[in-house]
Amino acid sequence: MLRYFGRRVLTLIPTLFAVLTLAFVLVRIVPGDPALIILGDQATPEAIARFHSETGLDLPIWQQYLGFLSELLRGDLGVSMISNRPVLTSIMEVLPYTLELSLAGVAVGVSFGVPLGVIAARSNGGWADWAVRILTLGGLSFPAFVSAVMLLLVFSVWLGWFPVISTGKPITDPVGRLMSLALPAFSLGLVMMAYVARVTRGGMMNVMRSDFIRTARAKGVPARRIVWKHALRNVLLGVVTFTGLYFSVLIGNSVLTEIVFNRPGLGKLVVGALERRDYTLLQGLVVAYAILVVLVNALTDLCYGAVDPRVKTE
Amino acid sequence: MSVLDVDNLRTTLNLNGRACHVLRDVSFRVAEGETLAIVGESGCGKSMLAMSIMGLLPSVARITQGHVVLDGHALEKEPERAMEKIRGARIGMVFQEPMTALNPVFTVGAQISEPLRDHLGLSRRDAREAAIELMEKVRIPSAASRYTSYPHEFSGGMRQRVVIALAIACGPRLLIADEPTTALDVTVQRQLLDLLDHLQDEGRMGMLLITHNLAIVAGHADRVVVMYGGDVVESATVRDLFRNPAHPYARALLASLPRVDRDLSELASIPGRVPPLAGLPDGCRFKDRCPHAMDICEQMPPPTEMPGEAGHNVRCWLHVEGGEHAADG
Repeated sequence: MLRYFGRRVLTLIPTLFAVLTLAFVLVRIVPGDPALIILGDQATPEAIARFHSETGLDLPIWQQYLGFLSELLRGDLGVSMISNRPVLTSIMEVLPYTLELSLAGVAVGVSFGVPLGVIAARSNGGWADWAVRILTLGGLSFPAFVSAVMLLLVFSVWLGWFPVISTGKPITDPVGRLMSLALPAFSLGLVMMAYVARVTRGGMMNVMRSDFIRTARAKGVPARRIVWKHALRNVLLGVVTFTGLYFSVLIGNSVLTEIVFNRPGLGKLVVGALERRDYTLLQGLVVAYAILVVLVNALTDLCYGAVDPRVKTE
Repeated sequence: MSVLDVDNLRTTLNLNGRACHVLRDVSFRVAEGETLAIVGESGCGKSMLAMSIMGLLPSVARITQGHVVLDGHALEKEPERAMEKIRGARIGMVFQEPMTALNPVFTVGAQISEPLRDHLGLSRRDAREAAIELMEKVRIPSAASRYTSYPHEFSGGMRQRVVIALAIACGPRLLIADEPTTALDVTVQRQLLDLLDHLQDEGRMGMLLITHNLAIVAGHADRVVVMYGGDVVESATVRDLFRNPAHPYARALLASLPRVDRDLSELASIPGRVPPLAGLPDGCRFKDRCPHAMDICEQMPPPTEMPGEAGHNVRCWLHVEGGEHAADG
């Protein structure tokens, strides 16, 4: 298992390298000189030259690239062009909020989506199936910002169950933190729930037709256990794959959720960096997102090895 | 006393509102320790028969007439809950396709222990011991260490041994083997059939051996039921059937067997094909392929007659006294 994981991590290195290079290039091919944006149109040529030499922008591009990589290897993402704070510090401050939101979103998506999918498959054409189909269609066709606003309106404004603004609560206030997480997580997980329900329903319909389900019935396994154990375990393989793939989409969607709910997180940092053309911060954020996505993919593979005994882990 | 008594069984399939009888008035018995072979081409209702006995018919099919009696106890009206306690405990079943018959995500040990815990109420530890014993019984080498193996680590023949272990786990009264060796190599076929024979003798089980292979019938069955299009067309002891097949279909089946004392060019094939479920004819279902078809065959299904020795039944108008004229009267 450890060797399997080690091998998986090794294959991540070229991917990560490519993504980092892309981040470096992207930030540099954006038209416009950051010096002009930051110092203003009226800046003197001396000031611009000074800015360039301070930020290293006057060096040849390959030297900038090597400098970027070597700093990265030392865990240094540079300093913000605007606030002069180290980029890594800014990211690490809010990363826990984004992580907890994304994980909670996935938890909502899976823990509601899987049972809904199973129930729909079991009822196959019955009223429960139709109810789930309509529900998932709703989940898929509402943009996240619409559902987020509706959730806020109903549960925070009208019912007052949850706080309207989920500004970061410290970890020392776990109840407050959970309460401020609930609505954003639900809003973020809604679309995923719809997808997971559909993936589960489809998988379930297929698996229930398999020979091994017939074998289980022939040995007298109770119907309930056939569905929730024998069939579901096989369907979960597909759900794990889907979750891994969807996680990166979810991290992207979390930007919007963070803004609607006014939560601290990478998303708000991205929007701020974009608005102020803070290229170093932006570059650092792209790196952070890339590492996150790549790690999630590795984790998915690991899960896959754990749920499917046919995946060679030795 | 018979272990299984199938009496006048009719299973009806509902195809978009049209009822077709995929099993028509099927009757036979399986005695303790006896092997009854069910033979016929694919699509003649053999598997549908097995599923009717097990109570595992697809939702569009149901038993509309007759009885399935196991040890004097009628099963056809039992609710699903009661059948769950019978399947795997008093009836075991072995399937055709060992490669897909086992759940890929559970260890074979867990799959064999499950019925032991369900039906015999064994503890986890006792079930494990019993399962390893069963694996030894079906001659899986180094059973104890293979308890935690997954199905994909087994060959087809070994998987079929696991399926057999599962089927006999709770000491069933009846074993239904539906084409148990069709998907396997010839050498492995032989071993598995001998194993089944041995287990059957040991447990005094009745066995229903469903096959299309007459060579298997000759070597491993006591009596034979020949099915065609959902009808039992002939039933006899193996010896009677091979010596004096009475029904034109049974004769044609036997004529299509290669024999060492005959030239291969004489091998007969049966013209035409098995009628599709949706187009099962009302009268004799073999009539379209039968060289002796008469008017009466078109009109009504033949009654079951006993032309020769006791226990040899045939369902054909040829063997009904004055059958040619029955249509007139």
